[in-house]
Amino acid sequence: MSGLLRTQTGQTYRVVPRTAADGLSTYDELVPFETLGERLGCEAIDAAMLARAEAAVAKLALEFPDEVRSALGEIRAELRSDAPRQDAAYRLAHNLKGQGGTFGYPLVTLIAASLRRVLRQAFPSEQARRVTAAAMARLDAIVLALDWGRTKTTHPGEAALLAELSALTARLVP
Amino acid sequence: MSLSHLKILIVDDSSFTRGVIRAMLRGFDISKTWEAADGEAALARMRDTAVDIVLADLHMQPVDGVELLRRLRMSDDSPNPLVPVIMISSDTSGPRIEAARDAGVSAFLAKPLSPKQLAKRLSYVLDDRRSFIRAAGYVGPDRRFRAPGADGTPQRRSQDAPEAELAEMKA
Repeated sequence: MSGLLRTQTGQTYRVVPRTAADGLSTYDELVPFETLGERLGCEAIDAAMLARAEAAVAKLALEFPDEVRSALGEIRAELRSDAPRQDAAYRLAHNLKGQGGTFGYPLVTLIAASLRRVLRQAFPSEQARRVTAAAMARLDAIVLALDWGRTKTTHPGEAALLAELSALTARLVP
Repeated sequence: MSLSHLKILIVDDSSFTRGVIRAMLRGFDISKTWEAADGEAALARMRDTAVDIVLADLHMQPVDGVELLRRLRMSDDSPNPLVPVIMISSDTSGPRIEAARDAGVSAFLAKPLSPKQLAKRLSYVLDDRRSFIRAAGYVGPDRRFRAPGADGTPQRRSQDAPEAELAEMKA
């Protein structure tokens, strides 16, 4: 049915009935009268705005080590509990992986990604101890990475640490 | 007018990450923001508050970003089926990304988050002139390339390379 459609936020579309290429099925094409930016009169994000946002991120970066330690505490608690919620631990590791990149801790990102891979594995009882040990080793490594500080360059000990984690995983979770 | 009238819903299960995004948006003069910890909470918030853009993480529990998209686009009781949704993910390919595209995502924002990339994706959505398609199996932005074919008509999606289509939404 042709006509106009107005959304919850006031965006208006012209409804154009169409026939699909197969000649049988039909669909509506909703053509916007204007872009969202035009309707709201938005101006472009300029260099000053970007600088303010960068400054805000730099300020939050100071809180990042505390956030990491808090998340690690939650993951440890999950792994030590009688009924660990692997999904919850996985999501915390996933968040650390992303946040490490935002705040300039590439090694935290790298180890959190490794932790996420370990936690993605099934958690059957016979493997639980091994998976937990592999995950705990990564938690310790993340603490070490935090202590090494915020850097975009490779720490001299990074390669050895990652090799050690990799060897440990091979031993614990064959 | 600045961006100060823009209303944005931030959906992420990490309160710290929501705070990071909120801080970036404030830098852009966007202070009308709301937050939700998962897709279910986001839908509830949108029933009370009309937002212009949704920024949603892909990985959440119990209702993740893809399921949020599906409910927004396809459910009869959706508060706003056409709202632009920017999906945030550390994954840049794979089945979940393709599922988001097929569920009607407007754009992707790759992690790690940065003000520059967030600004780029917001600008993409604010300037987006694509039609919306409302069909039996799909509701979302027109997935055909905007560049016309040799005869001047837009190319059909079936003729497009999915990788190229995704690249456009992530560029």
